[in-house]
Amino acid sequence: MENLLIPITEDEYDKPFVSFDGSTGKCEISGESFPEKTAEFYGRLMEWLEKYIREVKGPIDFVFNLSYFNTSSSKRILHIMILLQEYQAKGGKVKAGWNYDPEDLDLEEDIEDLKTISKLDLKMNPKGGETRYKRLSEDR
Amino acid sequence: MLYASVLFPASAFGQAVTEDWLKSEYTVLLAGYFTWPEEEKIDTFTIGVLSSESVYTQLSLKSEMQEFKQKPFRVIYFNRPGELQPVNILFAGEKRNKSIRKVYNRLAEKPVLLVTDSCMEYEFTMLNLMGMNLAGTKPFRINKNNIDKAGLSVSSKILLVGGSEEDLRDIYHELELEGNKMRAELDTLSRELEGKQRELAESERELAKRSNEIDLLVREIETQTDQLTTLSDSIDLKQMDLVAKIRLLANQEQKIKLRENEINTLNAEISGKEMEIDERSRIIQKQMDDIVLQTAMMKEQQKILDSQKIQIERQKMVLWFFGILSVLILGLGFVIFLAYRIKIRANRILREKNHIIEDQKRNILKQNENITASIYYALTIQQAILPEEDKLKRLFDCFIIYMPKDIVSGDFYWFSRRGRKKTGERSFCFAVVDCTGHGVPGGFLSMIGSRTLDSIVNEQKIEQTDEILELMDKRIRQALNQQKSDNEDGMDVCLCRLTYPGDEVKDDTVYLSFSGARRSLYLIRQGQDAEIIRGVRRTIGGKYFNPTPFLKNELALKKGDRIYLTSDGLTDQHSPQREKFGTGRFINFLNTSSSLGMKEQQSGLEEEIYRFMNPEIQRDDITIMGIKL
Repeated sequence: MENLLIPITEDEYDKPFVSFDGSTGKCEISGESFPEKTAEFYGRLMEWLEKYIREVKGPIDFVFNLSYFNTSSSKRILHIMILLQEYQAKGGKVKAGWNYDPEDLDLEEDIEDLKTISKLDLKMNPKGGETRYKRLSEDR
Repeated sequence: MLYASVLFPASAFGQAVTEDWLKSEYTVLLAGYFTWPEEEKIDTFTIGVLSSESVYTQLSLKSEMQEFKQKPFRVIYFNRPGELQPVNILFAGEKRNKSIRKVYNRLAEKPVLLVTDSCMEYEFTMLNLMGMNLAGTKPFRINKNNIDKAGLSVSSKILLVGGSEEDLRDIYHELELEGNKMRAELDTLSRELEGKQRELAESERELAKRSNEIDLLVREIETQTDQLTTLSDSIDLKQMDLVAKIRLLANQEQKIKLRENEINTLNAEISGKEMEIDERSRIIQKQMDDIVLQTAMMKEQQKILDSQKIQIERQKMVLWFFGILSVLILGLGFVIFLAYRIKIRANRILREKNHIIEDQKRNILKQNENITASIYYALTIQQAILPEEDKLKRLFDCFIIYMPKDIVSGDFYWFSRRGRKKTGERSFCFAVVDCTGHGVPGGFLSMIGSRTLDSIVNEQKIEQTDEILELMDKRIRQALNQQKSDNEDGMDVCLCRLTYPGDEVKDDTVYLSFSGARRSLYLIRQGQDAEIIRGVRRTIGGKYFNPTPFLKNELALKKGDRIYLTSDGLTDQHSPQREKFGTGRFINFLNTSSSLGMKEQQSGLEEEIYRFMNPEIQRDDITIMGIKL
């Protein structure tokens, strides 16, 4: 299945970096998410994931690397996590983790909320230091 | 005496030939035939005389006048064997013959030559002088054994005279061995000689052979010389033949010469003819040269012709080229003309389109204006439903920072006066609500939220903060029909109730009751650091129902303490360095500005926000309500 790649550009600072690999199932969302049209943006992601689950039926290794997301985005992210949880319940091989800055307690709480509501087995990965998105954003 | 006279022909220096004198002479003479060990180291020989004064006297006299073995000697006298000292030669007088054993034993194996005088105890003698009394055949006897034992050696010369039969046998044996050796040598020599003689015979035989050979050769030579003479005779004959032949040759030579002359004349004729030929060939050569010249000229003209042909070709090509070029130019001109026409037309169309676009642009701008105007109008409506700031400020020392991200905000703040009881107790409710989204959609929600709060608190008169939130959740879900619709929107609420006690309470206590739906309350008591009371992780409205109950936090504060209700816009705001404003920074600010008045604190906070944010855009609606109790 074809890959989904949404690079970050100068104008699209409010959207996260997305990279879904159609052959290995490695998926990544990184950066900050507060786009105006969250439905449209995340709609593409959901479509791709649903197609992958339906047709490829392969393993998914999902990495969340978001350091900020507004309320609308959080609802979309919740949808993704619920989709992953349902796929795992049906027997799909799902790995999910979220890399975050442990100093940001609000973020930690938000992630835990999403984890609780979605019931997805999400690995919380506190990290220190720079993340990829930060460097990318510094370029602009 | 006989021997004495033989041995001593000249009784030297007129000495009386006494027996003792003879004895002393014998002693010295015979001792000379003995050899002492390391004799060369002896400077002076010592001769001892035992118990014979006369011999001593004689030897003493001798010692002054003669030498022994070319070395001086001295003589010492001993009376008794006990007095004996080391000497080279010891002469024992006759008196001691009977007890010669004792003397001998004293000298045992020392290098001393014991000379005895007619002693019968033969085994204890070395050189025993005999000639005096006995009519023996020998003048002295030598005991070679004892001499050997003493480490001395004796010359075989006197052994022959005075040695024992054994000694003689030994000497004879030695001589025999020598003789044998010499015989052996002789044998070998004689054998050698025989060999050499045989060789000689051989060589003689050879010589004979050779002489025979030579004789043979001589005969051969003679025969050969005979042959040679015959040969020389034949040669002479041949020579005579040759002479005859030479004469013949001479004849023939003459004939040849004649023929040569004939040939010469013929040659002359030939050369004449040759000259004619040369003339003719010269003429022909000239004609050929002419021909060559003419062909060269023809070639030249041919070349000129060729180049002219090429030129013509070239000109033709140029003509063609120009022809095509002009055609092209014409065509191009035509095309340009066409293009020009098209351009003119296109321009016209463009202009028309431009007009249309201009119109559209104007339309859009107009629409934009309209929309913006309507949004601004909506803003006025939103403003209308928000509590009046003046009214609030009259009741409380407070500030409100209300910074929508767009025109209309998704945040709103809400206030309700709960009235006054007879006891004088007054209660007030404050809320800061953050609806999903910002701008117009957020604005709509804020309307619904504000209305809902009004309904619950003012109309239904629910007083407890946790109950208020619970009911708000239900109402919002109902209002948006969230069971069935796709709507997922919700609100985060920070809700406080302040109760000022009645007149009977004389102190400054103020009761605070707080419930938060995903919002926290910041408070700073006077003289202390800022605190946070966290709300519950449950939102109002939204797709997924969270059964966690809203908690009610009740605190007793004092007048002068401050509380701050916020939406998440401030803490979520990012700096240009991608840093979040965060709770920590806000807490820091509250601590450092706690002594400022509320108005100054507001300016301070607004400045802090601006400094932090600039030039980054505002992410979300920012709302902060600060109240001093």
